[in-house]
Amino acid sequence: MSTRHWVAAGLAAVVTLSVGTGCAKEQSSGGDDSSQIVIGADLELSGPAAVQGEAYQRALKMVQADINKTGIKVGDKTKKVKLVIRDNKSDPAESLTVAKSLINNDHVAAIVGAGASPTTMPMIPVAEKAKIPMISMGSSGAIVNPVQKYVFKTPGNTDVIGNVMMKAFAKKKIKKIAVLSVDNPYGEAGLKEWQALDKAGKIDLVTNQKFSDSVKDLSVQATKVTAAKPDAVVVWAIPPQSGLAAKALRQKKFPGDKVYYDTGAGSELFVKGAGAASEGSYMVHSRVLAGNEITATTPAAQTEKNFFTEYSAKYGGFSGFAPMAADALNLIVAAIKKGGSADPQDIQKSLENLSYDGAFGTYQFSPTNHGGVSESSLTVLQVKNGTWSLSDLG
Amino acid sequence: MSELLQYVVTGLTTGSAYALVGLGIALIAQVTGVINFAQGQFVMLAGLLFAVLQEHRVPTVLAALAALAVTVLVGLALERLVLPRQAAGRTDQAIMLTIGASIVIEGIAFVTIGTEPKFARPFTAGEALRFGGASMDRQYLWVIGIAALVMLAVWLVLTHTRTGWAMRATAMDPDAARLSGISPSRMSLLVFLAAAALGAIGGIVLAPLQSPDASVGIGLGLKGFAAAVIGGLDRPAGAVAGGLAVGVVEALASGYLPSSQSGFADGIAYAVLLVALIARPTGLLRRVTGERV
Repeated sequence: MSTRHWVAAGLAAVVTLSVGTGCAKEQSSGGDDSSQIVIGADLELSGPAAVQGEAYQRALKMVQADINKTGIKVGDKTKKVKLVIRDNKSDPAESLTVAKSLINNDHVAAIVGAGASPTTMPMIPVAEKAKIPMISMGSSGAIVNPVQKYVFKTPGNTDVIGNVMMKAFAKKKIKKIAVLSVDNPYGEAGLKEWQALDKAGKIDLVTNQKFSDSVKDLSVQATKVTAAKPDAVVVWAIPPQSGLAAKALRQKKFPGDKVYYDTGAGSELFVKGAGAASEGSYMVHSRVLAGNEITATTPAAQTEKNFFTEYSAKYGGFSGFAPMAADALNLIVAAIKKGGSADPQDIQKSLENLSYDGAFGTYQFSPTNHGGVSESSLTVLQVKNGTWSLSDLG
Repeated sequence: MSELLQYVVTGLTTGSAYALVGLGIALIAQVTGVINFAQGQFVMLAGLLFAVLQEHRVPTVLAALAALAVTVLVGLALERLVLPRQAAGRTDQAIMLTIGASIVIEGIAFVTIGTEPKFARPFTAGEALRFGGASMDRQYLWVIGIAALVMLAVWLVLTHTRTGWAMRATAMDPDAARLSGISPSRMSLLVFLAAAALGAIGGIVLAPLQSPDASVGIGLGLKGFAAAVIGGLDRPAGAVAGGLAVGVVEALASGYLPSSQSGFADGIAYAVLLVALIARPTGLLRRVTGERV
């Protein structure tokens, strides 16, 4: 066989490989049992967002075990939660299939997920049509704006995170920023927010760089953004790219305390990945991440601290993504308790008027507000001595 | 100017990773005629194992040796399982099998090690190196140094030892080689062993820089494939040149493309591949005239 044939076979293989990868992990399915409430989860267990999916899955299993210790009183029966967790391979098309399968085959009462904005968007029409409530962990504001009857979310909306950062910038007298963002709908949403703020004249966006979610070295991007001499760099990425960004900026001698990360940057994985370069970095997140420092004076703070302690003890480390999924499941359960019914329609009605203190923060759902967590639950954390701590910008 | 230098430095360093993968692919292609699409998985497997062992406080040298040993075993298993399955002369079947093996290896890594990235410590601590306005992580010195040593060793073996001659003879004409007492099957086993070891070494030196997770193998394998093809596919030196070229072009693309287009940099390796195939179908380092037989 000649070289040319090899190459032809190879190019065919390139296509095959890029389409046919990812491994499906599925757990438990089917079996109608009136003593159980079936809740589906559409998660990124493989693919580029697997870091998130793994944390979500762990959090859901932990919350499920806690709930099933006592069970949920529905009418005169005590029911247990049965989770059906399916992998969407971080792929929007796959997420659509998963959502349909959860609704049509598993007859779930509600869905947790998807875990990211790109995978959530295609589910929305499916959930609306089937009238099954879903709570997403995607951060894009487009998920709940305009409000769709059955669609809710837990993380802070992009514009809310932007607001929190803007307040921090005002305190630090930061006027010129550069944005480093991952080239997918998540990073795009962040970038658009800053471009809008720039257009409105509220901040000066001097330059921005996009990078692929599989990139392994960000020196070039860091060189370009630091060359524009911004007062601060804003990073919209998840691990490991968030850590690589920190490393590359440090290489360019850009001070760590002038770098601001979105909630997605990750907790321990970020610090581990960036090493010493993470020191001083700021991130907008719930205070749950500084769990050790929380003084539990209010029930809300107590819930956050408890979740941090329990998760850290069970899995030997904490993830900033975990509380988002934990709250999604707890919100569904709270709605079932409140309405006294596990019927999808009743869950939707109860969710829409629910106030809840969760692990990630406080939720005030209403017919016009389907999430996420309220701005007051978010704060600006800083890496001090290798751990996320409360900062002077809180 | 200092920016251009930085882009080139970054390009050469990331390119050295592609070169190592490409070298493995080219070696196997040269001797067996098979393109090993699981080559990137050797890099992933060794890097991941090395990082996991380090996280469990295994000393660096031990962790590296263990990761190397496991990866080489996987390479041997792959060769024994995949190559004898092909009908005589049908390398395309074996190529498909390597793709299957690649997905299996990734799947096993997903299930056993998990999907989170793992982090290894750099071999030597310290601030980044600086020269003429450019900076470079210290670990890249190890990458470049070890890659250079390994490439030199491969070249010496191929040109100065009986085994090397036998390998090259097999590459040129398996039947004639068999008539002179060389076992093509043994040569193919040897070359898979060498390629797995190459991939493993690459994975280990890159682990502190690239925080490997179970999914990195396919991307690296494809970039390595591009490097090998650009370099002429059956020329080890060409694969190295091809890898460095792909790295530099990628870095320059992300450096000089306007911000709104900066997302395209990742695909540029394949654009280079297409251009190279059209302009120089036989590879960068090969004379265009005269097909070698």
